[in-house]
Amino acid sequence: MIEIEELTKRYEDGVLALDHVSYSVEPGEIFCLLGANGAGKTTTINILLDFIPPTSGSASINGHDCNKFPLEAKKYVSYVSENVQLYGMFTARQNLAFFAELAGKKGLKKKDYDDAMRTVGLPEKALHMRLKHYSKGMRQKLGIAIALLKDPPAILMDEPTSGLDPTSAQEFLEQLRKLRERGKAILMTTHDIFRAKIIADRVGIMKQGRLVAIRKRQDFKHADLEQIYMYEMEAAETA
Amino acid sequence: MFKTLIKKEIIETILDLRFIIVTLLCVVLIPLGTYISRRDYERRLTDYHRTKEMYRQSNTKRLKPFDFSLVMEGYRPPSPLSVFACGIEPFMPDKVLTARSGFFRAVKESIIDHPQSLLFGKVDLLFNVGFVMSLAALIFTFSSISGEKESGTLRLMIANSVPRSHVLLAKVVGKYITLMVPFVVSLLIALIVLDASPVVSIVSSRVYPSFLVILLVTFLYILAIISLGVLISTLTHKSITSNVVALLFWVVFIIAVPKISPLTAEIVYPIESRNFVDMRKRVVKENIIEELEQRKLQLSDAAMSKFGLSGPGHTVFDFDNDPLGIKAKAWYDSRVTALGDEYGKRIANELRKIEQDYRNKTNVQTFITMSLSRISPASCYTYLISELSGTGVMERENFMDNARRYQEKVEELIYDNFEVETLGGRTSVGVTGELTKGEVSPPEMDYRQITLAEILETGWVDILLLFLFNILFFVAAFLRFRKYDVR
Repeated sequence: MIEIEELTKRYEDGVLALDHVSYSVEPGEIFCLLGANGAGKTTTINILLDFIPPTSGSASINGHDCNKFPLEAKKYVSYVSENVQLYGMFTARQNLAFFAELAGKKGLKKKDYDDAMRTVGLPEKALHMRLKHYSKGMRQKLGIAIALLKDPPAILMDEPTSGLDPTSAQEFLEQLRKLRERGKAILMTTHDIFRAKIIADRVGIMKQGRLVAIRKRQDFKHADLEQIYMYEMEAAETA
Repeated sequence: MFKTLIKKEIIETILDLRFIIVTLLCVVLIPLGTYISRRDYERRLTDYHRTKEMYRQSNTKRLKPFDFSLVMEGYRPPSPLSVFACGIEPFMPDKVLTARSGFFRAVKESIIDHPQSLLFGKVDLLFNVGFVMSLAALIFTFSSISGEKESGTLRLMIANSVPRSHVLLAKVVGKYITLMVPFVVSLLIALIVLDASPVVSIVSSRVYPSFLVILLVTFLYILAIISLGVLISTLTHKSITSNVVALLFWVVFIIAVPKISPLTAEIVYPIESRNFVDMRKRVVKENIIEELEQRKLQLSDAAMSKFGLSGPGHTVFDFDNDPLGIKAKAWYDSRVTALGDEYGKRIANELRKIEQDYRNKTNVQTFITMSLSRISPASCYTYLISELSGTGVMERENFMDNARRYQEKVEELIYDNFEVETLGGRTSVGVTGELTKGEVSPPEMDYRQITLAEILETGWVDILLLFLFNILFFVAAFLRFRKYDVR
């Protein structure tokens, strides 16, 4: 579903943000990208969403090259950012309606909105609240609700649990499980090794633009993912 | 999708405090400004009719044969469209004084009752749109892209399958519609205020075609400023920076460029002042008159010597009884009249040349001023609206043409009926034709207004430029937004 092939990105100032990175995320899979700040996790998502062009290599969603046919590729993906920012003066319903219509979902009924709100664990009355009164956790949940209404086969999440309180983070993981059950291919960048271990089917470890390791769930299910992470980072350092 | 984007822009703008402030400004300023302009026009129209009637009554008289310096007065009626733009009306001559010599004078009769109104400028449609609405348009749009980037919503929007051109165009259209709502509502209130006037009728054939063009040009101008605002928002990545840049653009393009252009033109192409030209004309005239006097003296000497009056024994001359003296005088008179006519023509010719030279130079300077100022959409708008309101630069020329026609009319009806005779050194004036009946009313000045077609004949440049500004700003914004970093 999400294909990354030899993806390289060198910024104008010479910084190599991605260095020949290759991996794929399959339907019904949660792939967590781990790495320190500046490792290239967000750069990958930025290329997938055509926010920036790659220097070389390719990234595609559902077979559509994100750089050559970005509008086509973006039809099959939703994006949940680190800090979901929506229109503060709009109500949740107005925000949901706007982004759903952008995704081509027209004529949604009240039930559809209520379902989306319920699925992400937001109370029904929150549907008519202005977003400026929402907490960060509520906004993150609404960000997922927007992704649910679009109902694409792939979802990109850029450090979605950052800044969430433990309860909200736990609820968020629950949402991810549901999305996986619905066959979504989820690419999630995170610093949160603890939650990555709980939810990820595979993890990719990145360091200075390179994908230094990919580990399957069975590799870290009974092991300490943090140790694996540290080990891979050190190995990359010495290599 | 495009409709969704426009709808979002409209709702977002309406929910913004800026919309409430702009709406209040429009609803208060536009009708109020129109009311003040209407009252001002009514007063000027009353003054015009009253002055004209008083002049007619007080000058319907028997022409005296010796009234050699008879002056007729013609008055310029105020333009009903001046309620929309005051333009250069306060500085424009409103009366012409004819002269038998053919040199009419244009003067300003009406006194400015409230000089403060000129000091601070009039609150007419030109001010309200040119300054207030342009500022409102920039306030609405300066952060339309940079602000969304800052808040993070732009990233989420672009993460969808939405072409950037749609996003940008929706911003322009959405903001435009939202800004036009309070403007059009205020304008409708202003029209009701205007329609309440017993002397101004918006549906009159004189007013409504020009008013429709004024509306069209106004809509075009506001759209250009909206596009400029959106362009500014794509040049920056933070709304505070956009704010500063927008303010800078507004000060430079809306205020500074139109004001600096005449000064720049004066530096680039300096010309003599009006006073200096008048003084030069006076000096030239005095020199020619001095030469004429010399020639007259020579002619007098020639007459004396021709008839032997300059020799011994002729120390005292009697031109009335001495036969030689009478002959000499007649000889002298027959030549001095021709000499006077010759020098009269020469003076007129020289003065005309100086005036023409001055006018040519003024035209060049005006052309430079207008060309320089047209880099600002505000200048194009001001030129167009003031011309359409009958208070622009063209109206000044139109007044001079009317004055010239009035002079010709007076010449035909009155001055040409004067009989000037020079007999025995005395000039006497008599009248012939219709004027011999005694009673004569001063001829009225048939003031011909500039037609809409004539205004558009020269104003199309500004309309075209406003179109080009729209295209230029939008294309520049699009090119910029295509590569805009939404992260």
